[in-house]
Amino acid sequence: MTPERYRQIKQIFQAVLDIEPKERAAYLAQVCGEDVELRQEVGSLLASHEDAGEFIEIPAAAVITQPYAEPPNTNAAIGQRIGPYQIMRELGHGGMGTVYLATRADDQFKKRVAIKLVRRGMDSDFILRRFRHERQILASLDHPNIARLFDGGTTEDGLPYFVMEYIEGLAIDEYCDRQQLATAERLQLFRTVCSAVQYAHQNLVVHRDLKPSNILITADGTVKLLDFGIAKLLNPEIAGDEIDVTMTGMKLMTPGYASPEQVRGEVITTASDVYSLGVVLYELLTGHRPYQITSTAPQEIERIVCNVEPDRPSTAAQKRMKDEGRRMKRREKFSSPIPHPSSLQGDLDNIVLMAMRKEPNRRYASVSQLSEDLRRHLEGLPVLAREDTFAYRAGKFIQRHKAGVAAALLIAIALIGGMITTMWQARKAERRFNDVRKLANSFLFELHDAIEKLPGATPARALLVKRALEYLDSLAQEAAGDATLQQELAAAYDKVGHIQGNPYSANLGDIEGALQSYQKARAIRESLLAKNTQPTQVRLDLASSYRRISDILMQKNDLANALQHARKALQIIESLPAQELALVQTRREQAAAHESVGEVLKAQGENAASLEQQRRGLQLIEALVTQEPANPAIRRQQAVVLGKIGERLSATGATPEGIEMARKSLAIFSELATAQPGNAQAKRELGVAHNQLGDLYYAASDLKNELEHYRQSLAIREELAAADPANQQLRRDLAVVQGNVGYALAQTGDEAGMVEHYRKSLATFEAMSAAKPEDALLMRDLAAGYDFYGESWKHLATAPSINASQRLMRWQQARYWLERSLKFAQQMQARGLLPGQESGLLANLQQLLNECDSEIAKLKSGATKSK
Amino acid sequence: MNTPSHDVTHLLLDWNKGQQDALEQLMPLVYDELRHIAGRYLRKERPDHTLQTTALVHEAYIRLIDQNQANWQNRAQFFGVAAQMMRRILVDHARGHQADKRGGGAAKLSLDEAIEIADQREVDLIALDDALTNLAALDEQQSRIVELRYFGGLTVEEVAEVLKLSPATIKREWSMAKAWLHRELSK
Repeated sequence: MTPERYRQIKQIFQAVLDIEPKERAAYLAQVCGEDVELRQEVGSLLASHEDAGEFIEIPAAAVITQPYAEPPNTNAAIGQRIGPYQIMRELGHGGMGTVYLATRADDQFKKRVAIKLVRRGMDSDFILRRFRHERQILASLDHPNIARLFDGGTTEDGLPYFVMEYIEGLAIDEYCDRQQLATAERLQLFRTVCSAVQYAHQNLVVHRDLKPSNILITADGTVKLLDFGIAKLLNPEIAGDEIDVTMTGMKLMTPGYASPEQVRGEVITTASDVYSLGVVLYELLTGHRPYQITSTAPQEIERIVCNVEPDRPSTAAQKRMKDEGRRMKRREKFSSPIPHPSSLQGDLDNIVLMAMRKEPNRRYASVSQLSEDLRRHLEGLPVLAREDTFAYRAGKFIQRHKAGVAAALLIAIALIGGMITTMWQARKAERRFNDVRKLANSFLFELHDAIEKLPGATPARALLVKRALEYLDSLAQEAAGDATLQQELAAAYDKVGHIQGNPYSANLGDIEGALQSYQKARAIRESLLAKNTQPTQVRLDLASSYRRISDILMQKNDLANALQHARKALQIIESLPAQELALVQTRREQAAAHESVGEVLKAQGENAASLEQQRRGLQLIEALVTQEPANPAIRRQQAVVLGKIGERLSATGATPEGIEMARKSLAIFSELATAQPGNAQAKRELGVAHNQLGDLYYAASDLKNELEHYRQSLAIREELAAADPANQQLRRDLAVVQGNVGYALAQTGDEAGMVEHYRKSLATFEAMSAAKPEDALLMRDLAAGYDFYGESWKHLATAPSINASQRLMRWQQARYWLERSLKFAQQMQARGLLPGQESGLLANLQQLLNECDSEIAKLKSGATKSK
Repeated sequence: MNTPSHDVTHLLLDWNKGQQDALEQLMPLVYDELRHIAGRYLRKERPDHTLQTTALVHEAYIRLIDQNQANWQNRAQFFGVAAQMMRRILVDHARGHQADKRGGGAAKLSLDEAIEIADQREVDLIALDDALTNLAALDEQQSRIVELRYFGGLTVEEVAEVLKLSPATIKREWSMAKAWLHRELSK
């Protein structure tokens, strides 16, 4: 929603409040005209207004300190009568009200029924009117798989209730899991559900709220659908019964199962039930819901339901299987026997996704058609459902991203897509592998590199990656016999992995995706190695696969696994024969593997072991430098390793040696950057080297050099960030060094300079974290930024030449920022985002806060005395 | 010598003159004072005692601001800052409680039950805080009104004074904001 829209809604809402309730509907219909959405918005706000009561009327502080209010007395009704029924116990409650088990008091057979008592606050008059109107139809729904609606009425307090057949059973998903039903059995059960829904549709009743908890299976295996037509009774509609548009929108539906048209508040038809059945089937087959809806914001729910394409069921089942596999180690068993992913590929994927299509007219025309397609699948006949065509998906893509991406770009993607399809068919006929390969490697990836820097290109990049993967996956299946093509494939997976989540370059931030791609590459190489083709090259590639996976695992903070993978990489290379080991490429890979092992050990806090690995890497590289002094790639690797060793030495107390190493590293980076003036990457690395040297001078308490190198880094990073403002990595680099300069300035006593640099730095971190609230690294940046800002204030508070009131202010500033850091770190810890080695951080912050508190208290009592 | 109140007053005056960084420096000082006063109540030393936010903010104002130098406009601005700080203190407090509850192994509630209880027992401050942030993107003023009334504990008349609007306008805006927030939190 936009502020303009909100203003429009506000005007009407406030005008409506001023007129008589009776006249409101007519007025609304008149001012909103064709704008159904506007009318619904205002309508739902009015309902909320009526419903809000004392909500937020008492200030928050008062609420917090009040002892807990009496819990709602849901048991009050027990033993009471509703109409002729005696309440026995509560069965459950939800947004609409409470469901009780009851018996008819005047019935000598004590027949048990379920009574749904609508909660206070809903429009009772409307519901009753509606009920009288619909009861004939609902009562006539006579089907063995539909729970009967017997009766309805109002309690003495005027609350509507419905009397329904009492069903004892399990929700369908739970039933399938407990009974460990196989795919075919699940499908048969689901077809029974379909036949009941179809029956209701023939009687002109749409369920509107199909979900597993409304589909029960009794002990004897009978399907029973609950609450048919109830959703419609409870959804007030705006101007009489004729217009079939719900006013409260989201209020009485279940977002996970509601169709796009339902979420948008559009006309609901039998196609909406087809959609919800598709979701239920999806869940029965995969154990997953198609969407993770965690938000309660209507725009967000609408965005997800209307725009996000769900994973194919087979993909979802695969993910689930992997999750379960991981858990299995601990729990030794599967919690539920969902179908094997491969059994879902093809027909079932297509059937489920066809039922769930966003546009009602592109779904199955009826529930029986859906059920029929399932039958055909079960009998091995061809099914109606087809995968969406590429042309269709490309069209959708253009529709959704009209504004963000240049049209030319999309045409390019569509073109490539078309070419691949054509080539793919040609390949089948003519086996023109090379053409296909060229297409995969050059077109997809060159195109990716070309669009990477365009603002707003992220969706296009994601689409490219998705298409590349689909394409590679299918190629992989058919290319099993061709070793060269297999190698190409593995390299292509690596590239896709880089784009998805390589921590050392601009990426899509999809770490899980990157891990999967790298693992696919690794699997291909393992199988090639088993076939013993070109062992050296494959071994080297395999080692780099292990290193890449290790990097990603480190990002996921799975250090034990990361170490295992890095060690495996090293072991693969070391097992090569001596003459192979002497080759430049092998040496470099070996050095890189040492470096990876060293990195993980460092993250684990194993400083000495880490340093040992780095030194071995350096030895290998320096031997190569003497061999090939002009090779910039080797020089660069030397500089990287020198820098890392410098950092390790300094961290373990050998600061002067560390600084010496880091200065050598800086000199090489500086040389490389000068030699390639147009190379932004070389410039960026020089910036990193300056910043790092600044860190080491800080550790050595050499304030002058510290500030000098931070400032050099700042100048480089400002230039880089200005040249490429959309680049998040450069933005973060700049914010980091701004903070560093601020920190150093605090040491010099320059309050204004410190505030100025930290303001810029923190503003960037806050904006970046707000844009990606789930990103643990960005959260860490922010927590660290607040921490260092607070500590800078603390340093200023201890300056000798200030008066008591200045001192108090500075302590208060320190306290404020340190506390923000602590709160942030606590939130991270609560969400499991704080790595183990940083657990001391919280205690440290708490200690700093205590120090602030005691200083503030001292200064305050001093101030009072001197007053 | 300079008393603390002198400094806060000066920052307030500087901010009034349009110096934005004066506000940034002012906030931690106001926060610290409010936190101290609020802490006495939030620690539940007397569980039956109801914290009156209004009284608390007034108390902080009197302690921090040199009444001889500040004018009416400064007071309104101070209250605006204080309400924002109270929001932070109370939401942080609620977050801490939430964490305690998690740690304490409280019985897991189904979503439906949780909503039901939230409806009847107390406002979910964390959800409200989020919703209020969303509201600010649509209607900054309504969000401020809720912040001042609900978190700052100000009356309609005081909010009207702070925002320089009529009490009638405040009431109308409040109705809409309340309905909107209530709807957001009922979902």
